[in-house]
Amino acid sequence: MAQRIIVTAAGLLLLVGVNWYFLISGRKKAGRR
Amino acid sequence: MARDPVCGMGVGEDRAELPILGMSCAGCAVNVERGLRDVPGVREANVNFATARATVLFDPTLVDTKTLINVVREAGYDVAASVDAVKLLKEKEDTTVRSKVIAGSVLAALIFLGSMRHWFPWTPAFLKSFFVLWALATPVQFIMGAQFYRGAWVAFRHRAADMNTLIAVGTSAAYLTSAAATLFPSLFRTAGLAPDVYFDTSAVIIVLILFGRMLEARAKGRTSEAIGRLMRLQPKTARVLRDGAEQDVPIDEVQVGDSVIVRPGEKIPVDGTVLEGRSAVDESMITGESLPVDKGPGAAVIGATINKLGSFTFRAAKVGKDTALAQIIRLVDDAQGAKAPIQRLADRIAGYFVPVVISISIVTFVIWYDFGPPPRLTFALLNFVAVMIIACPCALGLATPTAVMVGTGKGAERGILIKSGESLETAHKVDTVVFDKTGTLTNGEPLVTDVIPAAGYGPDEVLALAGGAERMSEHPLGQAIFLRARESGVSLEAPSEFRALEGLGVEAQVAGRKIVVGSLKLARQAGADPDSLVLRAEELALEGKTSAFVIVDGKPAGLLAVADTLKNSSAAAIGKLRNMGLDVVMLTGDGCGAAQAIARKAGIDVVIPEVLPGEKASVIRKLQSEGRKVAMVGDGINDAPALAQADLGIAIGTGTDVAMESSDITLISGDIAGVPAAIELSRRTIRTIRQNLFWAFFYNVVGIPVAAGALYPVLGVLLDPMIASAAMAFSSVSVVSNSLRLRRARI
Repeated sequence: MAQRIIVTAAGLLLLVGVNWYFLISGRKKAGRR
Repeated sequence: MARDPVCGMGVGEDRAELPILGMSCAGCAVNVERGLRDVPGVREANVNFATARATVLFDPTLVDTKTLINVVREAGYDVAASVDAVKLLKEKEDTTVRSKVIAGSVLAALIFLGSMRHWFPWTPAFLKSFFVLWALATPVQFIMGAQFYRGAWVAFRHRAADMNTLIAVGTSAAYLTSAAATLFPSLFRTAGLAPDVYFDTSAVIIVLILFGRMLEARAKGRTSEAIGRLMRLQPKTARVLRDGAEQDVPIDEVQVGDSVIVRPGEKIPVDGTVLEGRSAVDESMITGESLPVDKGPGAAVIGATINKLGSFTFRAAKVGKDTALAQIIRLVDDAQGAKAPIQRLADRIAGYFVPVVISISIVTFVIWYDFGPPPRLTFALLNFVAVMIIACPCALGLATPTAVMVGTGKGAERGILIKSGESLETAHKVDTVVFDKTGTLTNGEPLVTDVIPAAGYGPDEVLALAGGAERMSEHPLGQAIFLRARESGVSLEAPSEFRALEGLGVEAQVAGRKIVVGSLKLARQAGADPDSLVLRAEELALEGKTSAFVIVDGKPAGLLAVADTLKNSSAAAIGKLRNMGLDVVMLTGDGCGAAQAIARKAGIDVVIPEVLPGEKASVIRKLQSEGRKVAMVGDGINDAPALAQADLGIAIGTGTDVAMESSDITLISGDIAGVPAAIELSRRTIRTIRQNLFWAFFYNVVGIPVAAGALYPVLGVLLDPMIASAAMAFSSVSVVSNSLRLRRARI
């Protein structure tokens, strides 16, 4: 069970990270151009 | 800020030209430019992607060149020692890419044969070994494909995902799974899946995309040649009077105020004003004006134009970067650099697609790990990779390049040379087409249009007398009259006592009679009273025609009208453009009346008359500021800045080389019927690209949920590797055949 929680948490973190990095933060940076 | 009157730079301002290395797309140029502009003390920074050069104006008390170079390096690019170093490096890069494509194609073909062993049973047995395929695929992945990893990394650092990211992630997923299947087949069997390899997928994608980029780079190289060719127009030395003696000095050493001597047939080195001597000067390379221009004391001469007949001395007024030629070079350079980078549709989609695919893969992994059947880790890992593979941008990578290749090939068949995929892409957005008049809509050569005899003469007689007198004339108007007389079959007698009167006309003895052909002033000087013809001449002038009075033995005999005439195909081409819903505008240096006359015949409503050669680019800019997407059609060197400024520059192939190189599209035959054809071709190509992208995505949209295991709970279906590869192949085939359909399009 603990394993599952860790994997889920890591997955969610990665998911948020990828989308924040490419979509939210990337757009903001592009918007400054 | 105070401006230095000579070079236009602010006082207390320095200028640095930095040759930039490592820019692979227009987006890179934007990155470098932004980095430089953010530096305190930098007043202006412009990066030209085509010439790989940054021009920076800065305050030397606040910042130095060293800091600027560091800023460029921090942004992930480098600065070369000199402009030549960049050129050498680029040439080396071109050769490397070519050898990569050749070597990659051989390897990919072998891998394909080995992987498709059920299709090619005659393939040698050793090629079927997974280990051999792995060995063949590795150099393709990491040597030929290195630039995708590099590009993906640069994009990643700028928080973006583009085609490089998609190619790098997708092919890596295929490559790594295949490597895993080769090393640990049991891992796959435990999950009930056959351990298969996808080395062909990754290798073929990398080679195909590399090939497309090679073609693109070649086209781009040709663009920057325009500036080099303009620079070569400039003579290297000038003959200057110093201390009472003639000296040949390098062009850079000519100073304002120097007296410069020009002999017949030589190029005029810099801009200035004639002091003494007379001549006719061919200024066509700068102004587009096909007739030589008479020059006497006080007349302005332009550097790089060619002196035809006499010798003269002139005072240098503008040298170095202030000459007209230098300004044209700068305009072309600026326009090429400032052109907004066309974000490729596939790249834009990839910006969202890549993060979305990675997200779906992560969700797939977590769900299979948390809720899947045992062995959970194996299922989770394999389905994670399956999503990546099915999302691999094979068809997506092919969607744009194949359509562009077929489209440009189709154009070439019709004599429409399209410089790059970008040009083809831009052409469909055009809503306004601007034509230069002389040499584009018209033939650019004067022709006799009217023969008006005075009382007592017949038209043939007037032609015969004028034609005879003009036989020895070198003036284009005189030659037009002679040619027309010869074509109409009248008998022409050889003239005696021929005399050309500069700027006025000619006089000669023909068949014992004194013939004068020329302007009204000359007619009056000859003692004639041509009042009966003057009214007619004024009417002709309103139609844009030039009149030549024919005087025989001091009495008016008739009037010949000479004009530049409309090309045969002009009116039809303009009609087509208007039917396509485009606005057509004519641009000319002529006065209003003459311009309207030509425009009416061509079927053009909007005329912008009295435009000086240097103003053409600013007229285009003004139209663009109204929100129009402008195509400019022109032929002369003076059109080059306007061609480069326009969203789409279309050059007439019978015009100058510089115009062709500043343009996006060249119509080789000079037939302007190519203008509507090029725009139609672009519209169809873009439509094909959009359909391709739909098909490429359709497979992904259907395939990704299956790969993620969405059907497993209901039907117990996981994505079979064979189905995955078949779907990928089918998606590519449908994209390629859709592109090939373009070949049958009638344009």
